[in-house]
Amino acid sequence: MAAARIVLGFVVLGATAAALTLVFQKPAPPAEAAVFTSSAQCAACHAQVNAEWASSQHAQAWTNPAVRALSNDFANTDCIDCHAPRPVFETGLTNRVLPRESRRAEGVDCIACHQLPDGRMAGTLDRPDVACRPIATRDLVRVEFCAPCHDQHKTIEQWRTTKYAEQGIGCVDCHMPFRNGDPNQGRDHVMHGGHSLELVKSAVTLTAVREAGRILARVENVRAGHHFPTDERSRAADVFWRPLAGANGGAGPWRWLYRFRSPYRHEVELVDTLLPAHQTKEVVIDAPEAAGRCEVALFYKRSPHWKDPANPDPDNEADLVHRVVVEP
Amino acid sequence: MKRGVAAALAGVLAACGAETAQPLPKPTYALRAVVAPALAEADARARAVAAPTPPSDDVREAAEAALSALESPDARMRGLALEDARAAGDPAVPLFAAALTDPAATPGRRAAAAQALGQVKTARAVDALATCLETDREPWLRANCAWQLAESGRDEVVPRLVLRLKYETDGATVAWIAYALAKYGNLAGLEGLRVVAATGAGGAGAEAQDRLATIALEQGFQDGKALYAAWWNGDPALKQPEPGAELRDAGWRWIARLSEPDLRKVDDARFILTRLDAWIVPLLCEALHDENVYTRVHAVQVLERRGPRARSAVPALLEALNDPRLAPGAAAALGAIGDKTAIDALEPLLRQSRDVELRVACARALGRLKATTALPTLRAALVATEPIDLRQAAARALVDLGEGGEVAGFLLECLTSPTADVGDAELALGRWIVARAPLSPADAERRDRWSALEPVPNSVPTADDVARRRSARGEIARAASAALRSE
Repeated sequence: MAAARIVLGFVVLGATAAALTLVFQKPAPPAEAAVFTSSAQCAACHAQVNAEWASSQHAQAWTNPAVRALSNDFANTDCIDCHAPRPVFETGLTNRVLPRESRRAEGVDCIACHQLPDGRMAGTLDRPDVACRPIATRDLVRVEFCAPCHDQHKTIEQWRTTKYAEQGIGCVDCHMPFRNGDPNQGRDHVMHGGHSLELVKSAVTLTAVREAGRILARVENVRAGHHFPTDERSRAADVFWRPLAGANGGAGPWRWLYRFRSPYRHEVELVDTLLPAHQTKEVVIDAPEAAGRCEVALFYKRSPHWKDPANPDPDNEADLVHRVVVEP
Repeated sequence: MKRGVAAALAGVLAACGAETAQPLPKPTYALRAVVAPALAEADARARAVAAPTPPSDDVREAAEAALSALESPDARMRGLALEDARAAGDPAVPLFAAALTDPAATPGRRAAAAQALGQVKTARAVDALATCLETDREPWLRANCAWQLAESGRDEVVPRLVLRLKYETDGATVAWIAYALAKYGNLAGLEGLRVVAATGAGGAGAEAQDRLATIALEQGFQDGKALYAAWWNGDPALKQPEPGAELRDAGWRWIARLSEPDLRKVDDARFILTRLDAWIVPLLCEALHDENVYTRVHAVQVLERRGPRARSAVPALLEALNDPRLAPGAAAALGAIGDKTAIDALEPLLRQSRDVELRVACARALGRLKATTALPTLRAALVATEPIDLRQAAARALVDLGEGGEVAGFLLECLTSPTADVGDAELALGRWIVARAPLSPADAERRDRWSALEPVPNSVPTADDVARRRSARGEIARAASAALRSE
């Protein structure tokens, strides 16, 4: 009994000491404010995020050879605003970003997304004790945060008409998922998009059936939270088909059937054929050669032009998204 | 009493040699509503115009008769029909416009409608022709509309004609747009005209060459190339058109679009404002004080793009160096304009400013201005403790100043650095190689090898293509650098 009392006494004493320690514990001293002039500074503490970002299209916004070629090495200065932007928080959510004069090689970098007007960083935690003094900022995951650049081609506007908008599923839910699905591990900063064939494949389905002597090919936008494709007019998706001579192949050349694309403004003869979310496009193959075994395929392109428009070569100039074989 | 104590304390401190902190004078840059009041005035003027009269039955009959007669093979009948169209006037515009845009109408009737609208010459008639030029799918009709717009005598159509230069794909139509613009004293169409004349795009080469020669002759120049250079460089000898009130209002409307959220609209506005004549520069200078940051930043970009054609903006740009948001753009614009009086303002900013963006812009501008007096400051900006962008900008400026040999080694390092702007380093080395070409046959040969590695126009190189090109160019620059050291 006495021993129990002694043990209980120690327990009470220990608990009291722990409580007093918690109550009177000094808060971590505020860190000396660092001035962030380059995203390279962020890598010191955020190596994983930095490595993910470095492999992303955001990091290559200024250096990507295709971008440089299409913008004439940025002699077309119109492109600079979004390819080397000043911080989003400087101009505010939904407002357009402004271009910067320096650090352009870093493209859309840590500072562009995280720096607040007072020099601190928007993040997921309040940490006055570290150099970048992050402040928990919910705005980072709002679609309006991506809008300054990504609504230039109406992607956010397209999203607003989808069921995902009603359900509160926004850009980051698909393009910046939690690492391994675990919120405690933070969000993936590779920011997969149209350059991820896996993501493109998951966005749409392709089916083809034979009906009344014809082949009906259907492309459905099943998972993209916006039109397919979206964001850049240079992107296109094409449906091709070809007869297959026999069970073991012997395929002929691809025959072009339909294109999903938003034309450039000077292409007045073209109409916008993007596929909105949840919608299906049906195209008919009604050629005598389609009577036998056929293959239908959906290809994706990041540059809309074919080397030889009269004889497009999707196998070498585009990415295969889906293919289906239709039996006679 | 308190003041006396404070003064005494200050005196004691001064006597002890202590420095009293003097607050730096705050730069002042006045912001105000500039565009909104100008737009309100423009809107008021537009509202003051009498409301259009709906077409009466008589007008309908006259318009239809004019359209029919304009299709007649008889020249005299067509001449009379033109007079009838003119007499029908503005009330007939909706009828002519309907015929113009009717896709089911015969080409002859649509051409007749364009001619009729060209005779009416009211704001509504010009709007109908310009809309057709902007939207119709038939190149021959767009070309026809451009020609009619040239004859309308209403200069408020100039911005719309300029914008078509950005999007028009038909060579003959480009030629007629250039002709129409030249009629209003605007030579922005020369750029497209020269391309069409050289390439014969759409089989319009001969027509473009004729137009080019005619416009050059009218301006007192021997050829289109010399005239284009004079126009683009803001040659004061060129006649500058005075805008009508409507064109001036249109200028404000396009300046207002600089603050649009949609960058495409901003791009259009920048394109137009860069190519309008000198009268737009004072308006853009006023816009540099607008309270909307987008208006200010994009107005300064337009002035940069105008280059020497914005010479009168130099005082406003020097003042804009006091606006932290505008200062980098203002420095870039001063460099592009090429007025050396800006050097005295830019050099101290490169030396003393704490804003890296501004220092980078100043370094670039000093290079463009060939500011030899700034050489020591530019060299100081090259030191390893400075940010990489600033070092690269200073290196590029030294190349521009003919001192590329000093920085070739550093630029070669940048060509393979993970933190440098590799593309910019390649461009700077290219300038250096080209500048050295006249010095020796070996330098000329290196220049030729460098140029031969230029990407094929209208092609999209892969990352491997770019890596190979940069590697090969790195070798050329290294050889040039070694040759320089051995001299």
